[in-house]
Amino acid sequence: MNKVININFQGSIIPIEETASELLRNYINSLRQYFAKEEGRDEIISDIESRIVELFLQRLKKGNACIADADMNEIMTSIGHPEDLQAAESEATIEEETFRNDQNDTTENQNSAEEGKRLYRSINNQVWGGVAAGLADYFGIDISIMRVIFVFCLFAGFGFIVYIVLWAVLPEKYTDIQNRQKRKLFRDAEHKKLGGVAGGLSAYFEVEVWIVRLILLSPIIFGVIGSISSNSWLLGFDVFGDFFDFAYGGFGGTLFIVYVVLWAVLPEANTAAEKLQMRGEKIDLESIKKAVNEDLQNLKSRAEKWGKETESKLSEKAKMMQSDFVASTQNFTRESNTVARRSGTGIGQAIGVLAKVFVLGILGIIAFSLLMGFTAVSTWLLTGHQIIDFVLIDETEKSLLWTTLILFIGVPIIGLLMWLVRVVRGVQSRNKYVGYLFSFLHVLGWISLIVFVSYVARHFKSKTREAEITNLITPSNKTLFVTVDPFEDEDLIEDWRSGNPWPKMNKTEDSIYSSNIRVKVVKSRDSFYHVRAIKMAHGGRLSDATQLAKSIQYQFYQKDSVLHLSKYFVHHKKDKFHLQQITLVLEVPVSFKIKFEKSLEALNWQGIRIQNGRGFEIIEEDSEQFPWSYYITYVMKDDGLIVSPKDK
Amino acid sequence: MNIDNTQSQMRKGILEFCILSIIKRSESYPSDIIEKMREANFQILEGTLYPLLTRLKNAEMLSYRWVESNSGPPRKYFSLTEKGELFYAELKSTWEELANAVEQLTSSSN
Repeated sequence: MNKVININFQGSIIPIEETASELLRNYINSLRQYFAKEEGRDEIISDIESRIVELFLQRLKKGNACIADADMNEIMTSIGHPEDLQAAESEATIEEETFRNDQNDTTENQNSAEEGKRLYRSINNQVWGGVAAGLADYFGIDISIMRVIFVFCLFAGFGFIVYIVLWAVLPEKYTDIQNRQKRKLFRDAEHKKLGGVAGGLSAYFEVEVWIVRLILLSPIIFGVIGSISSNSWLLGFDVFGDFFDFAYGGFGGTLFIVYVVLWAVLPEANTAAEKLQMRGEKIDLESIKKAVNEDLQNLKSRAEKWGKETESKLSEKAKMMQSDFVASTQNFTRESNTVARRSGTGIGQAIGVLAKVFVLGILGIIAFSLLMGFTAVSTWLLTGHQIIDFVLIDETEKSLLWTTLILFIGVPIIGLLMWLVRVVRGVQSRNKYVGYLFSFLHVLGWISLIVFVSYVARHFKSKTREAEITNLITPSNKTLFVTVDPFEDEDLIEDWRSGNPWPKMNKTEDSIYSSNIRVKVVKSRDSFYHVRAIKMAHGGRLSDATQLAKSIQYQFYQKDSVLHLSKYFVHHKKDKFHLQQITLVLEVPVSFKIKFEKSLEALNWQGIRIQNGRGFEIIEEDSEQFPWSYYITYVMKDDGLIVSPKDK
Repeated sequence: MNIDNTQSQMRKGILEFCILSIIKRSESYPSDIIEKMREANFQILEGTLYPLLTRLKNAEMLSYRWVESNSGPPRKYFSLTEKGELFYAELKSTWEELANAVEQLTSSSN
């Protein structure tokens, strides 16, 4: 025997089996969901509850001790489950979802009017993820208003995050009354001005076509206003110039690309079935017939219109300028009125669409430019620029580099592009194996990347320094002037890396030039000036590193009191890039002086440090390492270099 | 063609008319209506009646008053409004035309 409890249901105390009360609760919930979109939902539910109480009381009167499962089932059959109601009444919607089973309410108080609503994403009333629609439904406000709020939040910054989080967290649910057919985005060939994209978008988002056109054209309009306002700088108000420039430049470019991409990607709606799919109507014989009829009507009216147009063409031409202007003004007025009338849905919808187009557009551009960048880098590498030969030792490394580039970077970019196209077209992925394949290839890319990096790092395992000491002749005034000689940079190949710190190759392509040189000043151990040139290089083995360091050529010479340094050190191309660098230690005897010329700035020391043999990092020179000012005479004292008293 | 579907379509079409007829005859509350329809052997799911009544009430065809009941919750007694009367009259004439036509067509086909 089941446990019997007493519940307060519609003001009556009902003894009922616990399981039956569970049935009752689920049943009411299912009805509540079934009638979710019905105007008088609460009233209907309350009426039905009254009826149920009546039936309960009838049964109890007959002598039943309590309401059992069997009674409950009988009642439910007589009133009807949502599925039966759906079949009996095709107007109302059915919730496809399994009816929820709340555990949080205890069965004692079953006043189900207080059941909480649940937040969800509406997947058939969505512009983007259905979050706005779900929230609008939850709070019982108009969806357009919700969209406007969202777009405002979007511009405030946090809206995007909130949206994404809600999107991820909320469950999906069908909410609309009509079971709308899933739409597809097409180009509307019938109503086209250019490519039919605007027409297709308007059909897809169910907004008037002029709204879409206005959005697409808005940058040009802004541009015109902007140019007017920036031309009026004479009058002293170029306040909006920048904004309009921005709108014209950034946003306009985006929309233009969006338009072109859509034009290229979308198929034209040619058959009647496609046209219906474009508007999201249900395709059956009746609706196809209707669409075809409309087509014929259009054809007829177009033929008539064409006849009339030819007639009046000549006279029209004469006053075209004038009438165009008048017409467009009238149009605008008319359309503004339309906007005012439909302000709720029209503008809200338009803003929703705008936001979606904007975000998709930005994503599209990111993906597109990534792809372009990837292509550019690949072509650049492919066309045999020296950087590959410069860093990589053998063919294995080269093929590893290529694998890494394609699998690690290329695959995700292509995946992103495909995803975007799918979102734009509203097509569901048919084949999940594509996803698996892409993930697999990307994982291979990771492996390839790791192997590649460790391969390359092998060449940098050992490090060596080769010092060469040159004695200088003491100048008569005991002051050494240090300068860097100008170098004909034109002899070196310039490319996009032309700026320091990268090494360069000469035009004959046999030598590498690098200015990774630094100057240090220390106290001389004797009474002469010396230059200690320390050449450094990395290599796989110590002997390799030594060999590489030795083959670095660096020239400097002394002429009277001036020490001339070269801007670059040179090594052969076959030596490859092995972090070659030079430290010039100038040894100054105590009480002797030294002075630096500004041309020393041409030297470009990059402290490069190997980390655990896995890759390297570039540390920018900090001011500590060359703390000397130019054109100031310094004098060496026992405890270091100080500014000469004369120069103070 | 599904026979169930056709039958339910037919029933649905005249359901409103039948309900309005019952209410026109005498002020009724939902359980009355169900009872009367059962008696006339008109199969109906109770669940479809309540939304229909609410819709008719919202369309100002029906009005109701609460009547206390000594066995259970208070009941809603529905009656036709002026608008409802007109609506009913129109439905009635349509029904009569239809019934005649159907009668004539089905009997001549036999």
